Formats: sequence, structure tokens, C-alpha cells
Amino acid sequence: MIKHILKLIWKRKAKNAFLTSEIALSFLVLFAVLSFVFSNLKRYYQPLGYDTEDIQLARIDFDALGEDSIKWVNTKKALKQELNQVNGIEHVSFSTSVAPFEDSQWTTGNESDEPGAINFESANLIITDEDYVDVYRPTLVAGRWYNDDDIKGKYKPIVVNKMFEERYLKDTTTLGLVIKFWNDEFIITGVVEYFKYLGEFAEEQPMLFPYLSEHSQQTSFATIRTASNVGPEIDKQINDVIEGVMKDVSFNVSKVDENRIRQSRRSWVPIVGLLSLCGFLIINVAMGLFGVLRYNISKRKGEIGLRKALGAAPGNINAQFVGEMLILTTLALIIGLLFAVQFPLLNFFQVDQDVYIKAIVTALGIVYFLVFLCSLIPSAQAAAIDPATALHEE
Amino acid sequence: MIKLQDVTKVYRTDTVETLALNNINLSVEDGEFVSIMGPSGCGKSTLLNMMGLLDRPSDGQVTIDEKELKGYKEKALAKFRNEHLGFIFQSFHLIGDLPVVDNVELPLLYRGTSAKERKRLAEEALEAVGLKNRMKHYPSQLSGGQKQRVAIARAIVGKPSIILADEPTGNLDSNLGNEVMDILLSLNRDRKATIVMVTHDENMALKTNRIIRLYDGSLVN
Ligand SMILES: Nc1ncnc2c1ncn2[C@@H]1O[C@H](COP(=O)(O)OP(=O)(O)O)[C@@H](O)[C@H]1O
Ligand SMILES: [Mg+2]
Repeated sequence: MIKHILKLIWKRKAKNAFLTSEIALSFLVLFAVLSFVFSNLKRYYQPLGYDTEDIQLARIDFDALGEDSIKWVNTKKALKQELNQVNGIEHVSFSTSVAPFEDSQWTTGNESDEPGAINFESANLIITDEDYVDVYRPTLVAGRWYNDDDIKGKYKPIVVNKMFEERYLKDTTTLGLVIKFWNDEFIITGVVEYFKYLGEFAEEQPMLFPYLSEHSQQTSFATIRTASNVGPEIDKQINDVIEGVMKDVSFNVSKVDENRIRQSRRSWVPIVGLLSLCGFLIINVAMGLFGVLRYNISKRKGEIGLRKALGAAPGNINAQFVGEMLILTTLALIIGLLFAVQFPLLNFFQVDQDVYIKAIVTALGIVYFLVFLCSLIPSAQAAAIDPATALHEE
Repeated sequence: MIKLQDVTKVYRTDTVETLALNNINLSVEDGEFVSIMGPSGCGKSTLLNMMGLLDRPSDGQVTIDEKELKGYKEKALAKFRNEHLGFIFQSFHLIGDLPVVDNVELPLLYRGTSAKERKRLAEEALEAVGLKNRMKHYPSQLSGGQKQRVAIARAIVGKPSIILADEPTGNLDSNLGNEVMDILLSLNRDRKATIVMVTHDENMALKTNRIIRLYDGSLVN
């Protein structure tokens, strides 16, 4: 029977070409959209690696303090002290202009010919202090975050993330390793598990958290962890303290949790948009398929009547038409697959193979299901055709 | 043996009701070659459809080989048609997208015959109608007479005991018509096939054992 159907399809290939290409194209569009959606979801479900609740981010224009480094040191000290004195504030940390959900990024690399040098192609930097760990609470998988003693040591302390370790420090022990870059020497005190600071839909990057010395004039953020039981009055208190210490320097305070939600919402827009578009496409293709099938069957009434006269039961007719559609779909999907598999094979985009494979399998499933569904009713109608009438009409 | 008892067929559409067959009683004996004649629209095809189990009578009953077919479900009727009946139509009804041999194999496809056996039987049937050399051709490459011979091969490939032919020579000129008629006569003579044939051609009808005349849905004596 399959051979019989194949012969019919082959002979009708010109008539079937449109349907075949429509199915193949739908598959490819589905595949593309699903690849995009799945790769986003995959990143979304990877752990963030740190807390976002009860954290406020104060962006302060420290540069307005001018060039005087003594003034910098004293102002920062005073700000930290006064903030820490507020009831309900637990920790305060300074960092450079990179912070979670702020869409800012600072990367560096190291290439040196020196013997024993640790080279890395690219790492993302958050330069910060000993309090960062208490504010964001990242999970440390080895060692510890630097403390007051580390700060006074011979080398500047630095924390790396697991991805940095796995990518660049495979052949050495991580803890206690001294790495050189920027003409400075850093000693690794700890490894954090994850730190997906670019956002929920972003990819984990190799990370470095070098120590930001109190003399550094690169500070942009004060990040504040509040107690979880504080009321909204804390916002005003924070504001008042910063205003009191910083005088006329401009600043603004946001909640990290809200920043996270705002950024996340922005990422959902294209995903939801594409999925809706896809749904619309599916409905259209389904209606098209349904129409084409009904048309084809109305053109083949004589054939159906004949088959019935010769002994085809309604079930045979039904199976033939559903079968024809499924075989046609299989041919279309083989064509579509030839294109689709190029993506995981040639790795055009930064998308993991498993995402592509999931997208291919899902798209195949959807197309098959759709075709099956759309061929059920027309095929049942074909099966119900009355042979006497059909043969009479021809 | 085909037996029709008090068979009436009424076609109902939204506006009209047509009495296509009116209380028909007749039987066709095994091995008989019967022709049905009558003016256009008198119910000849309808009568043949009743015998061919392609349609159910509005009233009365059809018995073939002693089997009361009234209670048969569609699937059982299909099986019965497949095993016992062969059909030949005025307009051939070949499937244009299939080569001749596949057209002939069709009834066997619904019988679950193996591909090899189907091919062998189809070849045999085509040989019987003198078209073994046209197996791979498509219907569009054949003349009308050849098409009808393919249709005959298809009708006999399953070795049915009864062949029902609705104006088999209606679309053919007299030479080709005679060829087809000769084949039918030989099937009746050599294979003892029961044949019921609708025809407009008095000469053809005279070659059969018996002529049944219909007028306005009723038998004429
Ligand atoms: N499927 C049908 N629906 C309605 N009327 C029909 C149908 N088939 C046949 N008829 C009517 O029944 C009558 C007999 O038709 P038919 O048996 O085809 O005549 P014949 O074959 O003798 O020319 C005609 O009036 C025809 O219009
Ligand atoms: Mg007729």
C-alpha cells in the first residue's frame, strides 16, 4: 500500500510541489523560531548565581568629586559608614560601573609570553570590595571571598567564577594562584559558582572580581543589602544618607529586583511575539492544508468511487488519504531537515547543539501532528463518499 | 445467482423525488449473460448498482449467491464486492496517475495479495485481453478500446463470479465495441462468468442469453 501511495505521489509531484514546499517552509520557520525560543529559555533556566531580593543599587556620580584622591577615599569611607549605621541596612559594597541587569559590560583579556603567565582570551570584570559577597550572596564553590586580611596581603585578591576556572585554569590549582594582568598581580582566593550578571536571558561569562582598592577612583555603584523585614521608609533613609554625604553629587537608587524584572520583561517581548506569530502561521498553514486537501479530494471523487467499487472499505480510503499526507509530509520534512541540520553542523550562531536538536524534534512533531489533524476530517469525508454517486458524476 | 425481490429505489434531493426503480423482481442465473436495455434515464445504471451492492435499495432486497446482503455493514459489502464482483464502466474509470499494471492490480490491493502475486495475476489478466505488452503504459497513452480492455482485465483479475458492465461499449466505435464484446462473450463462455451488461446496442444485446427491458424504472415484458 505504501508503494502504491508513493507511486501516486510521485506521479502527482507537480501538483504536490506547492503543498510540499509549504510544509517544508513551515517546518523551517518553526525550527528557526523554536531554536531562538529554546536557546533563550535554556539560558533563562540556568541559575543566576546570586540574590536579587532586598538589594538596592545606588548609581552615584563619584567623578563629580574631582581628581583629589584623599577626598575620594574619605567620602567613600564616610558613605559606607553612615549607610551601615542605618537601622535595616546590613551591608554596603562599592563597585565599578558594571552591575547586574544594568546592560553594562567590561571585558579584558591577557596575552603574555612570560613563562608561567596565565593567559585568558576574554573575561568579564566586576571590580569590587570585600563586602560584595554579603550583598549579592553568590555561592562559593571553593575558597572564600577576600576579607580584610587578603586586602593587606602582598597580592591584590581576586575571585573568579567556575566558568573562568574551567576555561582558563584547567591545568593548575586555582586557589592561591597568582595571575598577572594590567601590570598587577592578583591572588585567587575563591571561586563563585555562577554569576549571570548580564541578566536572566544572558549567557554565563567567565568572570573576574578583582579587589577595588579604596584609593581607586573608578567607583560608580554603592550596592546596599537591606534586612528583609524593613519597610518602605528605608528608601528615604538611604536617599537622605547619600544626599547628606555626597552633597550636590547626583545619584539615583533602584531596586535590583525591579531592575531584574524590567530587563526580563524586555527579553520576553520578542519571545512572546515570535511565538504568537508562529501560532498565527500554524493556524494559517492548517487552514491552507485543510482547504487544499478538501479540494484534492473533491477532484478525486471518481477515483474514490472506483476504489470503493473494487473493494476498498471506508477505512482503506481514510488510511490512504491520511497516509498520502503523512508520506508527503515526510518528504517535505526530509527536504526541510536538509536545511535545518546545517545549523548545528556549521554552528552559524552561538546556539548549543542540543537546542537545535530539541527545536528540530519539536518542529517535526508539530508539523506531523498538524498535518495529521488537518487530514483527518477531509479523509473521513473521502471515506464517506457514496460510490454510486461518485461514479455516476464522472 | 443474483436475485432482486421487490426492489425499489427512490432518489431524494431537496426538491425532487425520483422513483428510479419500481418494484423490480428478477434473477440472473449462474453463468448467464444478460443484457439490460432501455431509454436513457430509465434506471439501468441504478439497477446495476443494486446488483453491484454500490447502493442500497429503498425497499426490497438483493441476494447474491444465497447471501442476504441487507444486514451487511459497509466494510463487509466492500469485501463482498471485492471477492465476488467485477465492474466495467462506460467511461473506463482508470486511474490516470497509475500505469496499466497498477490499475489492474487495484482489486487485489484491497484483498491483501502479495505484490509478487498481484503482478503475476495482473499480467495474466492483461494477457487475456491482449494487452500484456502495455503493462507499463499510462492510460493516457492508450486508445479507448485499449482502455476498456484494461478495465476488463481489472474486472477479472480477482476472478469474480459476476461481472457487471454499464454500457462497456458506449464510448467506443463499433469495431472496438465488438472487440470488447468478444472478450466478454469469451469470459462468459470459457470462465463461466455471470455477466450483466447494460447496452444501447441491439446487436450486442442479441448476442447475450437474455434481454431485460426497463422503462421508467419498471421491467417491461
Ligand atoms: N445519485 C442520484 N441522485 C439522484 N437521482 C439519481 C441519482 N442517480 C440516478 N438518478 C436518477 O434516477 C433515474 C435513473 O437513472 P439511471 O439509473 O442513471 O438511468 P440510466 O442508467 O438508465 O440512464 C434518473 O432520473 C436519474 O436522474
Ligand atoms: Mg446509465
